Amino acid sequence: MNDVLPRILVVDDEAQIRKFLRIGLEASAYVVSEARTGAEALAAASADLPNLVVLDLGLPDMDGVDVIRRLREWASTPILVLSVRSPEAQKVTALDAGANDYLTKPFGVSELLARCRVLLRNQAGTQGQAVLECGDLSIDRPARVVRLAGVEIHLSPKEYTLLNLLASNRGKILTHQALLRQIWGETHERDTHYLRVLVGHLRLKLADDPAQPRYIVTEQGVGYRLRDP
Amino acid sequence: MATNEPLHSRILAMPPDQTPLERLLWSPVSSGRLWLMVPASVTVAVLCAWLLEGRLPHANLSLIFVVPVLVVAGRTGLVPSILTALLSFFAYNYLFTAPERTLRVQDPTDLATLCFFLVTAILVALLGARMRRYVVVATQQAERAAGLNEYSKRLAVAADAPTVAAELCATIAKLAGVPARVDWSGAAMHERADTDSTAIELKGAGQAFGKVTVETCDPATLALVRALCAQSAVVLERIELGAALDRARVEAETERLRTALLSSVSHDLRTPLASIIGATTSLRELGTTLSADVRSDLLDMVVHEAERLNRYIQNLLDMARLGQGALTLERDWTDPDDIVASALQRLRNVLGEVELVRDIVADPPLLLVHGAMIEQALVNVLENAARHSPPGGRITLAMFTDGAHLVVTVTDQGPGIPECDRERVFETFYSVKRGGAADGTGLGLAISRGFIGAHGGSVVAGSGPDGIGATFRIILPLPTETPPRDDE
Repeated sequence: MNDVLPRILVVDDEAQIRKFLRIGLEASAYVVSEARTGAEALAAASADLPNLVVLDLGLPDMDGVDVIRRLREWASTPILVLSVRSPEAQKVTALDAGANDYLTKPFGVSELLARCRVLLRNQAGTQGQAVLECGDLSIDRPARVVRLAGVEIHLSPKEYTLLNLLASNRGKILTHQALLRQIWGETHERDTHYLRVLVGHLRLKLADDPAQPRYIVTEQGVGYRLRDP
Repeated sequence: MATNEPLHSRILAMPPDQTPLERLLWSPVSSGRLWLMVPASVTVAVLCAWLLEGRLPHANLSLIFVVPVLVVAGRTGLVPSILTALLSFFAYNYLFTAPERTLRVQDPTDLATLCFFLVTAILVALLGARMRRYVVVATQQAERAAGLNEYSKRLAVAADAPTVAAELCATIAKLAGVPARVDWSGAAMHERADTDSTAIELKGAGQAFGKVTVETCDPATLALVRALCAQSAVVLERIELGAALDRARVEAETERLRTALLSSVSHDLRTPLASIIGATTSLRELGTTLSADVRSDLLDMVVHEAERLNRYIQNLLDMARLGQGALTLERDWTDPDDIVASALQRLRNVLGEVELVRDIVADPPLLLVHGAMIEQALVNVLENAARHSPPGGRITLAMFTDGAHLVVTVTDQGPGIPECDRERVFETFYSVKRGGAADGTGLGLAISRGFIGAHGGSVVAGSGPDGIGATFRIILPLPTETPPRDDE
């Protein structure tokens, strides 16, 4: 039975947090293993081969970002980072090091479960999926046609690339740098205003209210994600 | 200073009163022209005497030769004056006494005239040179008095000891023409003179501040320097006193903030904790006897109060960041819409009980700001509006541009802010001082102003439309550069 249930490794030095995470995750039919330190986490990751790692950045023995780098040397297991409210730069560093998403402490259990769901689903990938859907939005990838409530909308090539990237990673955060790299190339990694303008245009065409977006959600100072319905 | 007073008052008025004749007689000349003046003035006298020869008795011509002596004595020194007197004597003798073109004298009256002329000329030279010396000294005194006067004016605005020291050295160099330096460590010493420099104590009524070393031993110059030092010491004492007052004020303010912080921490941390502990123990002890609705209410309360705690701690951290002055702005191109969206998202539980109306300009220009800080500033202003809103009240969030600025206004329908308090609401712990009204922490608005101010913007409080409620305006300068366009 345990073989079919997704396994999640929880890494946090606070017993209370581990307990809360275990209760929430087990109630949602995940199998939970725990680690208190970075060293334990690396050992457990290689022994248990979890499907997802929930990792607190503040560990007693080593920097959480180093744990991410060590894990990424051999595993592509999705990593959800937990951090107390911290400068955006730290989140970006963790994401750049290979983390897949982050949650800022304190958070509610529903947010946690939503993120876990997205990360476990994305593990299967959207590769080869011809049509992606998100609410009223459908993206026919072989035909490069985007429809909003059945009506075709015309996007510029870059707008389409951006939407396709976000939709392929639905619910998952994509950093500014990653998006800039993939749309404009390495040399434009710091030209965030290109991205701001492009996102603005795309939102306009998707009739998305920027101050209360239905589709493209801004993570201030970090990146964007397509809202997971 | 007191000994100089009468002389100053007499002399200060002199320079503007000079007539052209006085200027001709007394204006100093440079040393190059000085020696030229001797033959030149005598030559002029000779020419005048020639013109008047025959119209005046011979003996009277000698009077003409007194004039060059007087002029030279007035404008130069003793030696040129005596020289002029002798030259005039020989010129008169050679050219105007019979037999002419010789130095011999026939007429005994001429001889007497010549003798009297020589005596008169030399006396005039002596007198003139002496007067000249007085004029030089007096002019110098006047200049120094004016310099002292100007110096005291400049000192009046000096704010710290290094400024005073710099002014002192500059003034000594200007008035006395000698280099000087101030040494603060030289306290507890008396005036001391070396071979070519003198150290003067910089001492006021009470304490000694240091010493001033000037490279001169000239008594007149030293008197001037002593006067300057006395003035400086008075100012240094004034500055010292001011600094002590400032320190006391800062200490008092720090103490006030500490007290306010303690009362805020105990109030704002304990109140939500009390609710949380109360609600959770109720659930644990009485869970079975409570209805499902009540249990759900209690749980909502726990979440709500815990979120409030979280916001309060964020405020404390932000305040500490502002207080340390270690605010680093990581500016990046930011869409104002995103800031509004994030702020509303974070406050969705707080704003749940009010009606939010948004009046936001379409496609606002990008800002070059630290997005998270602007977002926090807006969150705090919105939270403040929500706290003072009546149940079911309306909060209007408007955003527009006025050319060089992006303006965000937040208007509530609460009791409003009396005009006299509209600045004070931004003071740290103001709401606490007022008696802890509502559940404000007294930090939020101060942080908003700090964060927006760090971006060169401002936050101001005013009355709502038609005098109902309060309006807060966040004004942010738009970037002067426009973002380079993607050349798609």
